[in-house]
Amino acid sequence: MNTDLSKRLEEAKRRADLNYFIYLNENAPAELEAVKRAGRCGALCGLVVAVKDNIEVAGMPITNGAPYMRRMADRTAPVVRRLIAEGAVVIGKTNMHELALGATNINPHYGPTRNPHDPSRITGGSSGGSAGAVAIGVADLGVGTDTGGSVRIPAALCGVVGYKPPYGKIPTEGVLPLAQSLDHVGFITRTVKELVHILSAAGWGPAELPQMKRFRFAVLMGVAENTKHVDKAFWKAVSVLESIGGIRDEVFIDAGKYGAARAAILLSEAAANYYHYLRSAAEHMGRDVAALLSAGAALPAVAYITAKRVKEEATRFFESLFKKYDVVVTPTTAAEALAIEEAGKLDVRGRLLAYTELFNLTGHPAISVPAPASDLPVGLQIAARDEDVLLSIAKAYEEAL
Amino acid sequence: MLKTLLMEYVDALLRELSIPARDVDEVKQLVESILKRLQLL
Repeated sequence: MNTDLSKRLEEAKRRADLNYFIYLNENAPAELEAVKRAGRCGALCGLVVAVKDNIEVAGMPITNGAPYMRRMADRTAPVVRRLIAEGAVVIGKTNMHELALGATNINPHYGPTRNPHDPSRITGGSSGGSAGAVAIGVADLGVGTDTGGSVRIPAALCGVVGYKPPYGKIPTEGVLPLAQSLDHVGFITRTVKELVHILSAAGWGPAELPQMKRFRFAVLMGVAENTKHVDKAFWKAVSVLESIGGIRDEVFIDAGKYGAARAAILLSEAAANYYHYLRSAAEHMGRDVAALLSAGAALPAVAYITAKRVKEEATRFFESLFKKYDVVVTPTTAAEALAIEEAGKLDVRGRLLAYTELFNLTGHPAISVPAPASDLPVGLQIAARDEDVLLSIAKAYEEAL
Repeated sequence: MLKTLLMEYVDALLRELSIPARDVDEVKQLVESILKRLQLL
């Protein structure tokens, strides 16, 4: 029996009030011992992984955050299979926003996931359970999905690292779709250093990153209105980037059209994916999710195709920006973690999604790393064209903090 | 509350995508009729 894993399971149960897990894998210690005994433990031997409950792991239930979809999975998604092949062990399936269609992680069926820094506040989502499990040390790695910021947002609000690799890099097979044009699989860790090690060990990243002694970066302006708390932490983080060789510019963009395009694509594709459930099980759905799917079902093809054209336009715009700058930076969210009561009532798009959704539209890699903040955590989002450059700068930033 | 927020959201996103106002109104009527049919209103 692996005592560390048993302790992690105990800790997950002790913190059940935070609602991070839909399913706990009680067999995890025995599974790890069996792998060790067989001499099959690889570069990630004993890495404890919390998997979002829209990703299949054979022999475990999968719900997509929706009890009306619950079933047993009979296959393991390749992304998880790769980690297990290197000796990682799945500790459980994590709570999420229903169908991953929302950024608050207030789930009417499994309860809201609660922020580890203040349980009266949201973790953000939709991979909130995975982020929370990493933040409290129950898991070393959270695997999640990101269609508008669902890995980076909860990472920012919980004070950990959230990484969305470029579109298409990590296979989405065995991952329940939300909106295929925007869906990414992503990772949550406590540090960039750990993230880089895991990516390298799994064959998704290089053994060594390039050294970036000088680099050019642009701060994106005019996207959203930040709270004072976010602004203060963000500009401190910008100073840290300058201290490690970053040369700063500020670039104003009109992001309204980009956000609208992302929303039109999301709603249209999500409605197509879940139309059957909307028609047959709307009474079992959370009201917010059913309402958004209804809106998606009503959007005309003209809106969807126009949105796809705007997506291409946004990608071209950022490609041109990345010819001039190594990375662009923003706060990850415009607001710190909202109170659960408040988040359930408000349109939170501008506060939570405005910065992250840009890179779901373009498919560029983007990471959220903690910014220097007292009290509630704030995230610094860094995006780039080149994944290795991005990770190198994020790692140097972390070391300089 | 839900209907108001949803309609504002749909209105804003379609206008940002330069969908003409009359068409936006038709889409909102369709959204409302789906919500009623699903007994969400």
